[in-house]
Amino acid sequence: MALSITTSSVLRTPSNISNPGAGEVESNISSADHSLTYTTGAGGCEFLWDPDDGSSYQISYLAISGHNLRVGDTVTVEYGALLLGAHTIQRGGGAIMITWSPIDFDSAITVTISPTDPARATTISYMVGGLHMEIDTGEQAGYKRLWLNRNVTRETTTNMLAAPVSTLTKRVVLKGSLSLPNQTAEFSQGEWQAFIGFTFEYPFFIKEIEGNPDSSYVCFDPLFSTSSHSQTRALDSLTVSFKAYNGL
Amino acid sequence: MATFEATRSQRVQEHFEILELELPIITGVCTIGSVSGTGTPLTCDQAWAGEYKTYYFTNENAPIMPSMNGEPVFRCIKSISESATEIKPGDGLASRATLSITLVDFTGSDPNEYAPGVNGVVKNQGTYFGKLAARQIIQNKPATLKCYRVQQDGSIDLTNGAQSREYLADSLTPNNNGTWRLSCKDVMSVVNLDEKTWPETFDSVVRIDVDSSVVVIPVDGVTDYSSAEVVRIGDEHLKVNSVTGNLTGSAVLNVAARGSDIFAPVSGVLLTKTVADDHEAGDEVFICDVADNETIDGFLTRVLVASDFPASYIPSSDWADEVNEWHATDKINAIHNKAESVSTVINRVLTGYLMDMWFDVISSEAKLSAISVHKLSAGMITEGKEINAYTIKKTAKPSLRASRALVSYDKVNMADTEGYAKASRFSNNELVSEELYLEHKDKQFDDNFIIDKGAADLLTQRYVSRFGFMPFERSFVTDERYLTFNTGDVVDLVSSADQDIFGLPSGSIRAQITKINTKFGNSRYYDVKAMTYEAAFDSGTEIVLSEPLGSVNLYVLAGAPSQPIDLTFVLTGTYSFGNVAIRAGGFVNTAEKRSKLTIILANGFQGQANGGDGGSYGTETVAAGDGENGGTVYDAEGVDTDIYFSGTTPSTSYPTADGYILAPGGGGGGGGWSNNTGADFESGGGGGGAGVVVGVGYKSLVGNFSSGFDGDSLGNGGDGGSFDSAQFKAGDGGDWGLAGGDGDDADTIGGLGGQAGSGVVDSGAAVSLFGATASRYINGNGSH
Repeated sequence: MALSITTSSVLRTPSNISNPGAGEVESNISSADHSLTYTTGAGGCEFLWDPDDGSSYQISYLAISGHNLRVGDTVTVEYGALLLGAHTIQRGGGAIMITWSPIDFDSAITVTISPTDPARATTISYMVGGLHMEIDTGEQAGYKRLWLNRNVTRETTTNMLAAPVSTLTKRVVLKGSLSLPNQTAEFSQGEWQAFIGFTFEYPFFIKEIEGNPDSSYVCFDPLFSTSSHSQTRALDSLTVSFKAYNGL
Repeated sequence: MATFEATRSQRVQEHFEILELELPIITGVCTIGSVSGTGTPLTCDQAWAGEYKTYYFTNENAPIMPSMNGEPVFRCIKSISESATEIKPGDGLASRATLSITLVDFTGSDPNEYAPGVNGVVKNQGTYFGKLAARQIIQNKPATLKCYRVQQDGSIDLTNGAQSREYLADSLTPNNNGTWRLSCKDVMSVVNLDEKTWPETFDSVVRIDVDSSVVVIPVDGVTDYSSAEVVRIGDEHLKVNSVTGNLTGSAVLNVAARGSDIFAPVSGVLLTKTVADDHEAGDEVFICDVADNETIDGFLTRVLVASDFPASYIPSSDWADEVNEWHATDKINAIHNKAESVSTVINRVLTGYLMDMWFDVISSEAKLSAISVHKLSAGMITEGKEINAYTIKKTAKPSLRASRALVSYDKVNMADTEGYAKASRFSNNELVSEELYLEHKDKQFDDNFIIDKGAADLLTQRYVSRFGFMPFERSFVTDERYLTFNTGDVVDLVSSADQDIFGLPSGSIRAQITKINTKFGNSRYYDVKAMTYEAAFDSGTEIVLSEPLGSVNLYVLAGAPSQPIDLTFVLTGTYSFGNVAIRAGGFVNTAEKRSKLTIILANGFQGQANGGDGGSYGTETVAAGDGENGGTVYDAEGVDTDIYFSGTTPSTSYPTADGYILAPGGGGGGGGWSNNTGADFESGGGGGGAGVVVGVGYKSLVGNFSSGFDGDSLGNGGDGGSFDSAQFKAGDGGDWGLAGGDGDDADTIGGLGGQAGSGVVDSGAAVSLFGATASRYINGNGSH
């Protein structure tokens, strides 16, 4: 039932890439600009982040959007020798978000990508990790399941019999709106505010189903609205409208 | 991974584009003044070493893709608008293509991150395109728009999967909403044909005054005259034989006799007459360009390359093939004696030979295409498939229609502003009957000094043939999947806009694709324009010639078809004339590919030719002249021909033939000279032969009594002249089909009579005559 929403981004440029692509820019991996991509060498690749600035961050998720991973490829996340999560891609190109209980980021985190085709290089637009929050109440009725929708429009020309001839598809932006009624004032004035601040600088991910990394999408251009409860000041009604990209 | 063409047939298609902009950069040391520069020739004091960087931009909604050559592909193309080249049949040069791309600006990145002057602060300062525009001159830099298609398995082939369109950037300007507009133009535009002149001009002058008779012309020592063949000083043209002291202070041009006619050295064609004149020191010496037996494609190439058009964009063999097919015998023999706009020069050639020229941004080639109703269809395009259903629109183009065309040619003196000696006219009188267009509509071409009779006749014929009936422009939409044709292609249309008389879709609408404009709004689709016309098919076409025919070439009057053809000519224009009044011409006619002609003589048509002129009388010192041979009415020149004189014909329009072919007579020989009574006496000039242009009897200079008489057009040769009919007499001109008589021998020998003319000459063809009674056909020296 719970929705997972990312609230921070702590992974920057990987400190090591086991199978680097020639001439590729490593900082592109953590850039939210999906124009900037990183392509590995052919076959599997390990991305390693090693905290070296002495700061202590917490991290509870890893998300990837804008990639060419195909069905059957695997992504594993390890914290030292501890396996934090693993996922086998079920939908080619779709955004994924792997979550776990928060841990301190004071040891190396390794993300391993293993394509089924060893001749294929992996291209990634955006790989990010940090903290996320859980919305235990989940979404309201009617909420658009953006991870199941396709962000394409189709236009088919027809012949003289009005039968289909050929089809043009075009990618368009998905749009969603998440309502969180009856949230505590503590939440709306605390964690929610931090989240709003975070979204000014970074896109955020939503994962709709716990345990299913494929049920994810990256959200941008959020528009927040906070309304009072009709009967008590202890509760607020929160709404965020946004655009989304699910990679499909 | 697959090429663009390999994925064209995908039923479901997703498109995206990548713009590649190639700009000069400096990657090494770069300073400007005392500070670090930003890595471009404009922003570095250091010299540019020829380095370029390619910038990549794609649509905001393009699929995820890797970097290209280590460079990011920025997702900032908001919209693309292209105005493709448009062929203008009959008007020569096509309109140029343009491309406009709207780019969304962004921050946090820098176009020259490698440069020493671009640090973290600069990188995050300003906007990407703002900095790019400040550091580069965009004009005339290569801009390539690559059109991609997502493959069926969702992958993309960035290396081979694109259709590239070559443009040149023209400007990069900000809009008022955070976007920038990149304007591009096609390569032919960069030549700025309207702003360039040809031939090249020099500061060349006469050094010392010269009068109208000297043949050594002192000229300046700055200009290189080594390649000068003809020069113009004032209104006088001078043929240059050699140069002495070229590029010295004593340079002189050694010219031919002043005022003499100037001929092309190879072809021998008269280029211009001229009048000698005095010239003063300081008068301009214009070095004329001489085209001598030059092919159309060769001449156009020379002019374009001289105007900075890249030779690599000219597909020489394609051009030569096109010219060989449609203008096999046409050669340019002309002098250009003043600088003109290049577009004027090129358009004169294109309109003179009825050709189209355009630049194809996809193949990156300048295209050259002849206009002819005989062009074969490259395929059929059908509504509901290649034409999106119910998108076709039909618009009449009355300004193009003409049932009669006229062009003046053969400029005798190139210094004259007027002075064209000849004109060619072709009319289709069948179109002006009351049930059709009622009256003629004329197309008057500009006077043209580069074309000769053959080209002029072909021009007027081809125009009227193509645009005699109302041309229509069809505009329609095509999906990329079915865009299997190109601009310039000739196709057959099957659409709901054109039905036959029974209401079924017409499959005989032939059209030339004049424009294919890409629409980039919601994936790519194409707005197409096609100009339709009455096609001439390889059999069954009937050409009615309703005016008198003088030395006509049926091949030219048929529009010079490039394939074997089965044609019918109906001759209704009263009569023919000329030494060879009607010739079949250069139809394709080999053992494997034979053409076939049917000639129907109608409405009492009299096929005649010129009668032979009489020979001159002899004198004490000059031998008497022979009479000239009569002309030929029809020379089949090896092309199989059926000729109908009377009776039933295979034509439904002209089911009954009614006509004649009458061989002319030869001219009579001149009489010999006689010293009969101790004084000089000429025996008379020969009589002229019979013919529609009569043989002219040779006229005496000393009195009428010894002149030969002209033949007539009713079949009678003229009598030969004589001083004394009882003694020596010149030969009589021959009647229809007869030779001229020999002149009498006297003290000197009389001239021989000219041979009879010919009715029909086969020249190796199988020629059959139908209904050719004795009164309708006079053979003379012909083959029947």
